[in-house]
Amino acid sequence: VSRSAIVLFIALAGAVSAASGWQSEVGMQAPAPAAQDPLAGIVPEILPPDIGQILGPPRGRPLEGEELIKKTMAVGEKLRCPVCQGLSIADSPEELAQNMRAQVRDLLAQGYSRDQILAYFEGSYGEFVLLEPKLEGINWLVWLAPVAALLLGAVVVVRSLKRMSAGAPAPAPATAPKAAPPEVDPELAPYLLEARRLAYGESPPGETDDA
Amino acid sequence: VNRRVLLVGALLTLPVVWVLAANMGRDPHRVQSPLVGRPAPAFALPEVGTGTPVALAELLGKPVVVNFWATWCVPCWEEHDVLVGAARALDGRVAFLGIVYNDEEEKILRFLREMGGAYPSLLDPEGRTSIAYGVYGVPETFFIDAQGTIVAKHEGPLTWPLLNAYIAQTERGS
Repeated sequence: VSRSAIVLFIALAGAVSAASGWQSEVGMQAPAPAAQDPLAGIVPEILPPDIGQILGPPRGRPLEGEELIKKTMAVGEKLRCPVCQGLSIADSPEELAQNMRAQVRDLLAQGYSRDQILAYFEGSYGEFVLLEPKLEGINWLVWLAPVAALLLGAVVVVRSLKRMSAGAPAPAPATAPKAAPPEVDPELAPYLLEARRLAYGESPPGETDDA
Repeated sequence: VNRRVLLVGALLTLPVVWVLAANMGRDPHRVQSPLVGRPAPAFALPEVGTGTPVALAELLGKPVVVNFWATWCVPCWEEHDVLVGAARALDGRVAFLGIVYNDEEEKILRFLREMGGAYPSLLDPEGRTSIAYGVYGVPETFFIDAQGTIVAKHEGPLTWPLLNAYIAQTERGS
């Protein structure tokens, strides 16, 4: 149930981040890492880890321009910024998040598919890096628990509404024994009567025969 | 009725309380690295100062300790002496490598001049290698066996006893 709360929260955060999407997109226009590229040009032997070796050939088509920016955002929103508190890499100004975003963009430009990219980051950071838990094993609980809770709530509401609209006669049998006038301790009866007299006046309606 | 409500309420809330209590001491950011037991991602990166590329593959054949660090990271200062001392003591038996995370070359050079060094530190343009190793924050140290498999990952500063234990584990290759 706590995991479902987390998912609900993530969904809310996702909606908020989607609403503010234009802001992050502006941030995407100025990717700093490109400035460091000349290094790779001077010394051709310098190679970061080869992703093709890990992922195999790209399974999508190379993207560019507007489509690349949009897709980078979309994939970035699925990845957790590892050093932030509940932010996606699309929403974080952290250097690590920027680097990850730049890599997502590069991989998309090379034609890697969304699932391949998510698999790459999961391979190095673990499933924690995925903002949406995968649909397998115990994770089904996370996805189904909120729906189940909603259905359960609906059943409870419908049942109690029915009971209420059934009118006065219906609840009577169930509650009558408990709702009957409470038995008054004979010793306290005079005090009770006195209290009622003070509260309601000399002769409260239908109260005199209580004791 | 009250007893039933109490029972149902307890049944609903107790598991939640239990899950929360059981995970109180756990930092969700600290996850066992999925890379342990897998081949270390290969890289060839420029050495700080000289720009000479150094490849992980050149060093394999003996255990390799890869330390991700930065000059702005205080725990990295603490473990620097331990790593340099170990690299000197184990010269020829275990290779050491630093990968500088998110830093500037002049600052790194100044740091190494002042604190001393015994093994190459490499730059990681765009952080690609750090990402491939799933680095969250420095310091993080990977222990790679002679065949290139990641045997262990340590987060936080290393001490002599820790480093000794990791190196023994790596030399056993498990």
